[in-house]
Amino acid sequence: MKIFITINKLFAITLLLCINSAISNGQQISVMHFAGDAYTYNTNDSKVKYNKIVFGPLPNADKILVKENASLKLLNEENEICEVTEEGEYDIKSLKFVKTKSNSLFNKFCDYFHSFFINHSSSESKSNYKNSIHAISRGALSPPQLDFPIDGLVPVTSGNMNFSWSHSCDACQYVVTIYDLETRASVYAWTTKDHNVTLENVDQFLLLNKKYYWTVTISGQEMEYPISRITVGEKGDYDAQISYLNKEISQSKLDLDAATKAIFIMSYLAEQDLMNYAIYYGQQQTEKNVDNKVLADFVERFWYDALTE
Amino acid sequence: MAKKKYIQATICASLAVFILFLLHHLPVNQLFIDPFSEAIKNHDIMDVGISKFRNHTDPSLFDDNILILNSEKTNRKEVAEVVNYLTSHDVAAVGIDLIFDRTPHNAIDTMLSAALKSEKVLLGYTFEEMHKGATHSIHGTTSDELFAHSDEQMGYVNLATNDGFTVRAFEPYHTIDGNQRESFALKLASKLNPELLEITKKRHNKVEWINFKRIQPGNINMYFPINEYKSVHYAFTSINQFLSDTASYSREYLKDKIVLIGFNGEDDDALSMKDRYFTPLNQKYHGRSLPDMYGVVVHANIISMLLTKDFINEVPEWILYLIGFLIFFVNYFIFQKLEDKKLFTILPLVRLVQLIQFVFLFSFCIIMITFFNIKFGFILIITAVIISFEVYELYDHKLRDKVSELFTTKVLKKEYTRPNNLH
Repeated sequence: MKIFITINKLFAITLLLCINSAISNGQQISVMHFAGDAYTYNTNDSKVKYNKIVFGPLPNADKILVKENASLKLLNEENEICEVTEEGEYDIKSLKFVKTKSNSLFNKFCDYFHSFFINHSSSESKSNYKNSIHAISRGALSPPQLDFPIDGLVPVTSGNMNFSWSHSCDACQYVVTIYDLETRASVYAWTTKDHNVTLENVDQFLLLNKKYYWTVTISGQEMEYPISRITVGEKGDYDAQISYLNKEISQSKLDLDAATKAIFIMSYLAEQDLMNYAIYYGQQQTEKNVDNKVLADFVERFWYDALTE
Repeated sequence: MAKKKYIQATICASLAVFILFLLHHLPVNQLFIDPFSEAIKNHDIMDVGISKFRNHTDPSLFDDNILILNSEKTNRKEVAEVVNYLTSHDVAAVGIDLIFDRTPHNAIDTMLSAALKSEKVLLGYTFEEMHKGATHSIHGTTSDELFAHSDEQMGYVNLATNDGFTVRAFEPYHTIDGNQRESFALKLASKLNPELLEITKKRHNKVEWINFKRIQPGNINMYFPINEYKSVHYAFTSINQFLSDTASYSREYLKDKIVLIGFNGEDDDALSMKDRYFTPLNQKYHGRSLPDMYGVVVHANIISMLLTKDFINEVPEWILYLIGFLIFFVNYFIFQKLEDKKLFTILPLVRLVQLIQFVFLFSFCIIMITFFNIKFGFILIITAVIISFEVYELYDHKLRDKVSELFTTKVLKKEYTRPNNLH
């Protein structure tokens, strides 16, 4: 009987140790919040596969890739938090988790009494009155204006396609949808609060030289929305066009500055009815030459004219 | 002897005013010495006077110069039609408290753009100032350039607040990008009376208190805490209703009117909280309440105030300190009298005196703001009442001897020390 009890105890201890070991080895990290583009990947894999981060437990991976303007908030099992706000690649194991701020009753009392000694503004003093109330309303919510791509052939660079629109709204949720022009079937859709989205791996979703249209609608708002009819350009076609034009310019032996060169290339592309190519090229050049005001003005004007035509 | 007392009282009162000055300018929350500003933080004596003591049912408050049209769910076609109708009917001005965003240009927008070209139209816009260290930037939100034809046809709609949701003041002028710009309400009022531009400049007030007198119109607002008495101070209808009833509005009626177009709820029964703020007219001036006025009606109140030149004048700070001095001076004698009697109940009596003074000063401030449009800084003078006994005790027990030695004449000193010699 004694032996039986001892065996039972040993079994229980072994089981507990196993459970404990499993917990400590597999530290579970969950995604609490994310904004923008962030991915996980495993460097041990023969072919690196990027998985877009979603809410919930992180998949089996050892690295995180955080893209520009993206941010992440992760939570481990000890309820510690790690915030990643900078662009870059991070080793998951070396992420620093910190304890969340304690919010005990004592702390709340301390904060309350501390507030007595924080400067406050008297309502009687005019100097405390600032012009921060904007007593105005929106004169009807207008539909978002599709900025890019506009009607026509769309450049596909590095397998990605960008979509952007303009709209003034404080808290609108946008639904961006690409439809097949022939069947009117939805091909791809996003929901976002931003004013631009990127379709990655275009060839997986859209067929070359096939006609589509895209639109941006506001969640819960029934109105007439504008659409743009687009055709997906061949992969590499944009780069080929630009390198051909660059070659032409260099052969002409004209010493053109960035603005003049951009004007030449954009005008040429516009003549070829490749407006989206021209706008995209202008955007790229503006980003490359941030201080070139002439170029920025021209690209903005060119784009505005294309939109209002 | 009497002269000595006056000198002592003067010195004590001066010391107390100095302490009052220090307390008033301390960069900390004055919870202990400024109970009113804390206990009713974000409230002002003006709120009590205006909401509780003014007669809101006085028919003379009805302002016939202003017509307010509710834009409801804005229909640009209706706005264009109503603007066209009004500008062709001799109105003084049409103020539009709406921002028209950029849209794909269509026939309706072209129609609205053409309607807004009239010189009688004034469009609202907003600006936002940001201070980051030494840098200062202004960012504006205006209607699209298709609608905003010129600077002259635009006025800023910003209202001044100290907490983000209560409106009590506005700036008649603000310098934006080096240019002095007029506010939306001032520009509209000056269309009826151009002298107002000069008058407001001469007042040299960067910020003007708004003399709120007229309550938010609309059937849905006819209950506590907004308009319990169901008073009507502005002609009010919706654009839609106006367009279907144009025959009821004669040319004579519209002549020289300022017409304000702005959001007052999606329909007659909608109590929307968009562009709606707390004002001193809110019948529930403390605790949780409903915002009582839409932005466009706040602008209407400013216009009414400007047209009637019914400004609120603020008492300068030096006069408040002078009143504080007088309170300390008078209280010095009262407290001394009570102490001389060596009554057991001295502290309750002191508090009773302070309570009476509080009631008197509170009533005085309320009467001044309610009936004479004069705004006293209540917090400062009531603090003088509250701390007067403590300062008196401090002075009487700790400082009087030293002050006597330093400042009083030899005779005074002699007389003061006499009781000790007698012993």
